[in-house]
Amino acid sequence: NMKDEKRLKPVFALVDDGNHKQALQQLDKILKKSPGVNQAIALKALCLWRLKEREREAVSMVCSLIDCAVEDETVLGLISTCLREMQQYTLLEELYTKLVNKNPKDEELLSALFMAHVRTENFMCQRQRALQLNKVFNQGHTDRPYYLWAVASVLLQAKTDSVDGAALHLPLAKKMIEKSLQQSENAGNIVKNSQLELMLLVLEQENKIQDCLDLFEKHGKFLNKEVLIIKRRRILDYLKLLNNHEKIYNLCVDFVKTPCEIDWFTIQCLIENCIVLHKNNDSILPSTQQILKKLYDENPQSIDYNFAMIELERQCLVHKIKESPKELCESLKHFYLHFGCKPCFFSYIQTSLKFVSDHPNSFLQDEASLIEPENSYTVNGLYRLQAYYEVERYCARNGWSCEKLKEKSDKLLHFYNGYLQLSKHLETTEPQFCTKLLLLSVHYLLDVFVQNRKTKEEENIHIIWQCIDLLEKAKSISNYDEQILIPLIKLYMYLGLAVPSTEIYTQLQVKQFLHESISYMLSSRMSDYGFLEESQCLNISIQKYFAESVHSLKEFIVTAFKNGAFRQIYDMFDWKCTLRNSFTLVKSALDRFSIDMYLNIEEVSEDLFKGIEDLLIDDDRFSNLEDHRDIMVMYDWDQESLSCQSHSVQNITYQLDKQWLQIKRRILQSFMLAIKAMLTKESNIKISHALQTTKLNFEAACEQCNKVVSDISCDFSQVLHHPFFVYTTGPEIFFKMKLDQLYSLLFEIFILVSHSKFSSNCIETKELDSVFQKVEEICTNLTDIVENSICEQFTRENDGVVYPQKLTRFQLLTESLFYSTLCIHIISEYAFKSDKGAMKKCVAHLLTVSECLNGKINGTLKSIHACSYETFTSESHVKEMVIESYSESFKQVSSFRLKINKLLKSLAH
Amino acid sequence: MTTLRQFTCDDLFRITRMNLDPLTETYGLPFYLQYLAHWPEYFLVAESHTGDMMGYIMGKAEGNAARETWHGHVTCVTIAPEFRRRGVAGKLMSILEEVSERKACFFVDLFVRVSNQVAVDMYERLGYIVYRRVLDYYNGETDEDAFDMRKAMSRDKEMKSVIPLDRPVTSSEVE
Repeated sequence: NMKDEKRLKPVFALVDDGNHKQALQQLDKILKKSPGVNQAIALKALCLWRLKEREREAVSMVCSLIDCAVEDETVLGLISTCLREMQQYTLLEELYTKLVNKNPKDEELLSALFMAHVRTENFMCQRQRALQLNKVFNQGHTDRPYYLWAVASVLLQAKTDSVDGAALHLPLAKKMIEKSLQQSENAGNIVKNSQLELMLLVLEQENKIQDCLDLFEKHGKFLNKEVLIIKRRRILDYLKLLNNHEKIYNLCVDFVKTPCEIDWFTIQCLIENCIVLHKNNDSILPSTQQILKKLYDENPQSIDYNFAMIELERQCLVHKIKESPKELCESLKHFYLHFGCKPCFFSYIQTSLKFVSDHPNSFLQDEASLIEPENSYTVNGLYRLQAYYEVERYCARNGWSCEKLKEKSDKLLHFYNGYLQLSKHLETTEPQFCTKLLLLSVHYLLDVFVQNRKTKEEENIHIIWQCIDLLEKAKSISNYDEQILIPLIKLYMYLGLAVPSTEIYTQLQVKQFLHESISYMLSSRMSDYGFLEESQCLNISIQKYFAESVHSLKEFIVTAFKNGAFRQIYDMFDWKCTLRNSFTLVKSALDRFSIDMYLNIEEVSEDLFKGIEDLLIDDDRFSNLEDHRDIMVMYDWDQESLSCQSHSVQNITYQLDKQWLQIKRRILQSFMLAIKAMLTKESNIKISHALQTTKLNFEAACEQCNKVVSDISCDFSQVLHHPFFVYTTGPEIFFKMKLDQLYSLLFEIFILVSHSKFSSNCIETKELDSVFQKVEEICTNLTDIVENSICEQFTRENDGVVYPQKLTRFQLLTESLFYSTLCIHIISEYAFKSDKGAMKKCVAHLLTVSECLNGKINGTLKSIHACSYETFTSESHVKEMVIESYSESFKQVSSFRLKINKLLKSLAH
Repeated sequence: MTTLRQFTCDDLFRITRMNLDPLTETYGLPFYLQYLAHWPEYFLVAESHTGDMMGYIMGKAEGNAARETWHGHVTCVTIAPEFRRRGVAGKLMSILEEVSERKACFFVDLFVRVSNQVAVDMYERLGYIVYRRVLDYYNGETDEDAFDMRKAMSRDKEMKSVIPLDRPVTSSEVE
């Protein structure tokens, strides 16, 4: 009534402004006086949901109102919003079905019901509703898209139904769209873009590419919204699918001869198809050369036309049409002289360099002539200099002595400092022109580090700090340049310094889809350094992004339907799976649960248990993983990644990560099963079998992982030890392998124990003894590692310089102890009532390891506080972060270690 | 010279480097999806010869034809640092203008930070004029004014849309 509306008006305003807390207070007052005001109840549910408070209550409040929605439009609007935000799509469908049943002639309600079906992906109902809408409301209004909605729905059904898709739904969709086109043509109406786009989608799905081209030809003004260059691209794409080389070539020749805009795709097709046709046509190569030369002669300022000639030369070498790179060299020389002053020069010639990398100086000018006289620094001069050194870095991969590397680094640093004056007028938010020179200088220094890695560890660490200092200074001039920030994060992470890494990461403002590529730098190591809570925050924000993304995709598929953007519906539909299969998403989910286990070691809650179980049993999620990282964002200018090609780095890191993920999954899975076994009173042979399967899967994953690691060791040994390589390095892999063995044995114990428990059989003592013997060996091995390796000083005695690699190993060992302790704790809970001897031995070993580590932690903490950081860096804010990082890391690990020790002691008695 | 094509969802994973640039805003995913679902023809990418992303443009058509405010709008145009100074932005802008011509727009407009002189100069070279100054258009640590820049399309024969206003306006006055 009017009175309620007046009272609710300010509340609506509060909700619109996002003041949900205040709105909730007002609503409580209103509902206290008049508890039956449906609008107020709906608004309250919305506020509770948005505030993430009492979410279950909010959902049930909305459900209770569904029947009232029929009577009140405002309530309907509110409920509809609530159900969409709560992702209660089935309820939304039910709601609109009820409403449509009452008002079958209401166009708005019927189309809302169609969209509700879109959200639940109920294609059959989508089609029915769309046809109903078309029948009732499209008479005399041919502009309404309802019939096309029906076609698109059938097409989506065809796409998703692997059984009847091709045989049943696709022909139906084709028939429907053909009818629609025919009707438009007969009625003299303009054929719409959306109609044609749907027809193309049908034909593409049928793989009738020639028909797609015919459709293009038939409708001259086809896709009138699109510009010429995009239309041409589409025609060429279809022809490429048909492998019609001759037609592509001739078409490209026509395109380049017309005065219209030419894009690189056309040139690329011209060159590629010239190469293919060359086998049967000798004249095609010279005539293509002439075409390209003519284009360049007419546009001598164009870097692209010049590059087109180089690309043709390169393709001839790739396909062995030519043997000698002499002509390519000449072309590159010309290219450098004319376009060496462009910042993108290197990106153009990179693919050609492998043919001339033995003689880069044959096409670059003399190094000495590049050194600009003082006070005449120009942007063009800078880029020419940069181009020179970029090529040099690419070509001169091996064989330089440390002295030469240092000399090169110094020289580049000198140039960088000189060219900084070009950027004096720039704001600190803008990138400097000459940052690349600094990066190259840093990379040469790190090459020295890698060369000395095995022999001069102590002095070497100063090189890392030197690099950090250089980058920190550059950062103070240009605060947000990702070229500086990313290497800095990597170096800090290498040193185990999570505080500065996190701070810089914040500066990068990583959010949304950027997580896919960038969060990898931190998430892969953060928890290893003991920064469990920070790691958890990162995991939570990654998961939030994914959840919101999938939700919003549904809403924009609805929008695309409304706009007739059918190709985009297809794209978004596929992308939903792409997002769901993201490696980053699954990894962050698993990491999150593992850390939850760490943090709740004493008591695993039911919710956590259920969450882990749900994730782990979903085989599809682990088998259909997709890698969406743009790895080159992280490995730019790294000498090793240049040499072994970006896609190899991408592939190898992904393969390794995937295997670790599987191992982690199996470990968690076995814990879950063991806990389940503890909690289940009745015998459950299924659990025992599940454990057996887990063990087999675990071993398979370990084997795979070993294989990847050994492949890496052969091909990527340099990469592995590079401080810029955001990955587990050699010694860490060794530790992890040892741990795998331990886990594997512990699983064996689980299996034996559960068998005996559930089948009432006695355990074969011999069998058990032999397993325990192996466990003992591994534990002794771990103790040895502590004594021989980690018990070395973490810090150097004379000046307190910290050895980061050793810290990392130590942190990993902590992780191992956590898992093994947990395993033994679980076993002791329900087995070995009679003979605890073997287990006691294990516990005793672990306790030794644990106490040794405790002593180490305390000693290291003291030395970290006591040592002088002057030796590290001249940047005072960095010094503070170093202390904070190491202290925090050790503090978190210490508190965790105390828990473990307590457990171990209780077990030992 | 570039390869131009329409933006697809997967491209979101490939624009990381460009979006790490502090002057390029990374919006929430719904923002990009909204443009893909509404104005796919205005959402384009430029690729280099190696398939690397050189830049992208995002735009839309809005306004009212009867009031002669129907226009193309440039929401965002960004180019990767190494591909700057090569006319890629100009190319993307010209495609957006061509789409706007086909949609019979009266003009194309865009907003730019008044401090971003490099961008203002570029737009002027492309034929845009400062139509008006919008006070405190950009919010952040310190608010900043924007220039609303415009270029008339062929439908606006009398070039009425590009007669500069003689006073600045506030954000709330901008449609």
